[in-house]
Amino acid sequence: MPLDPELRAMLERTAAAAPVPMHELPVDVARSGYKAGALASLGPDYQPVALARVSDRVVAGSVPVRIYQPEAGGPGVAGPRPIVAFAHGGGWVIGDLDTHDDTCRFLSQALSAVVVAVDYRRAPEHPYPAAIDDYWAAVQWTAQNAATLGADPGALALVGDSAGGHLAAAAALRARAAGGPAIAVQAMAYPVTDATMSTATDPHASYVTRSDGFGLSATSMAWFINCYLPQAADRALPDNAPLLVEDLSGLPPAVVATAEYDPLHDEGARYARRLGQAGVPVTWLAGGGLVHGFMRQHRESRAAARARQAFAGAISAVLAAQPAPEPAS
Amino acid sequence: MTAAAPVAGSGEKLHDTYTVMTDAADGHWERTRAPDLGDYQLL
Repeated sequence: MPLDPELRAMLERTAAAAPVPMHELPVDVARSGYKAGALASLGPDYQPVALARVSDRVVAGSVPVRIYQPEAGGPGVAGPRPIVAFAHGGGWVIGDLDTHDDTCRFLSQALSAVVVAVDYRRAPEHPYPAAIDDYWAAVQWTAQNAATLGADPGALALVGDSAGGHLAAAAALRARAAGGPAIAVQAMAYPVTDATMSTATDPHASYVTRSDGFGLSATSMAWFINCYLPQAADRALPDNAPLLVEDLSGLPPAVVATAEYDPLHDEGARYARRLGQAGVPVTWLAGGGLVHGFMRQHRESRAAARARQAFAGAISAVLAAQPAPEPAS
Repeated sequence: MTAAAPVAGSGEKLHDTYTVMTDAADGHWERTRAPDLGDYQLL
């Protein structure tokens, strides 16, 4: 379907405001530009979603997190809440807690969930495995401390967008290999699922057909991968290429959202498909007309806002289908 | 284990727990029958 006209206008504004590609900027400039763009996209009259409490702390020894506690009550909440371990996007390089604060507030409210947003170490200062090690440590901490946070340890969701979606997928694989913690749902919005960029060899693949002109470019994606994974041999590891893992059976139910005009479209769609072939319950949200980053474009595009709501709705549906926890004796 | 359905043109199998949703553009997303959508049909 055609590119959403509101997103086309957004892309034109962004290109005019930031004409130099991200991968040609010094890292600190790229980071400040990304953050400024994230805040600007919310608009001058933006009011953050009000929650009961938002607090920063350090967990699992050395991992900073921001914890979002929703207001009491909320839709469908009668007992302990779900809990989300959230990994932000930004190519493992340029995102942070502030660039995704609005996303986490939205998820906390929409899911009536405690959200633990993980401030993992970023590349290139901290290449692989720093980001996944930090996120994985925070996931384990979140599972162990869910009840203390007023949440249900049996309703743990791994959620992330873009590079954060990649970390969520990788952590689900780690949890399977480790025999826990139990993950109720893994949810990835326009994720990286293959750091080898293997789909780029197909001339019909989105890495080729959507390589430039829609926000995230294939060249910027290659730069991100070079920053996080300077050692090429690491890129095909399960941590970094979930799409290439032979056996995906036994993984937690998945929600995968893709954007049609995104170099990462095909590896997200293929991952959803491979999970489905392995018997994993999957909801693939096929975002026609959308571009990479739609979770943070809801103030600029009604289609993006609908997609963000659908993503949360699909996560809620999976959580609602979980067996009820045993009553405390 | 759930039943598996063939995917048009691919010979692959997808289980009936595989759901595809698309934007109905009227304020909500809705289910689409998975076999009707290939990996690249949207492109």
